[in-house]
Amino acid sequence: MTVLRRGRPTAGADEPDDAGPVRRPERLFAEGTDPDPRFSLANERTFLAWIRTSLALFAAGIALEGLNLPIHPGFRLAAAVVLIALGTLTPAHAWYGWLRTERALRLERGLPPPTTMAVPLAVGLLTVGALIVAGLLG
Amino acid sequence: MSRPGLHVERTTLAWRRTAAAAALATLVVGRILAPHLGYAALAVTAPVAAGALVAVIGVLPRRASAARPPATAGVCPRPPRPAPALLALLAATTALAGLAAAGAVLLT
Repeated sequence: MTVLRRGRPTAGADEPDDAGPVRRPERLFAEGTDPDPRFSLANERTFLAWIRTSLALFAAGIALEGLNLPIHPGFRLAAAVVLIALGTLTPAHAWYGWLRTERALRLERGLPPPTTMAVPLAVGLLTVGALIVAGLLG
Repeated sequence: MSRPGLHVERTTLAWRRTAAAAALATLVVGRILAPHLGYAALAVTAPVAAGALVAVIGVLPRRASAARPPATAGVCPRPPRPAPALLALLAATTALAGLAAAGAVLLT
């Protein structure tokens, strides 16, 4: 199949993937071959979805604490801190997940299992819910 | 069959959604924190705004790629390769904003 390379004349898809400028992180791009672009794009969209989740989490944390809602202040602060902590960890998870998936795609391996962030996120959100309910009742 | 062009368009839209979310988060966080912190609220809003800027920059190569017609009939141009630097920068600015937000909530 003939494809058009960015900034280069038409070239064959079987051309070595390391043609052109060095791509970073080198450790990732030194391995394997470029996967089907559709898979890379899907991986990128998943990364972006995690970033949006992170923005929503810490904005919710700030809103919870900043809007002076009628919740017991101690519980409210705890819930806000949990939300913000989750929102701070999520970008690291997004980057790590992108790297793991991209590496698996390049090496034509099976996709890695869902990362462990789903469990802390679920537990954290349940905790926030419980803290808010406790704060409303307390 | 799924057309590769649509994947580029979906990804462009995802970058736009992220830019819009970051811009909205900047406004919301700034609006909530400004009365409490004054100019110190910038410590939280600036990284979020930087993230929005990074996301806007992320849209550009995708738009250019989507606008470019295929070189040969029936052959799709290869979409731009992922830009890990942009992804890393976006993750870093978002994490930094989270840390600043934690500081703001704990200190006020």
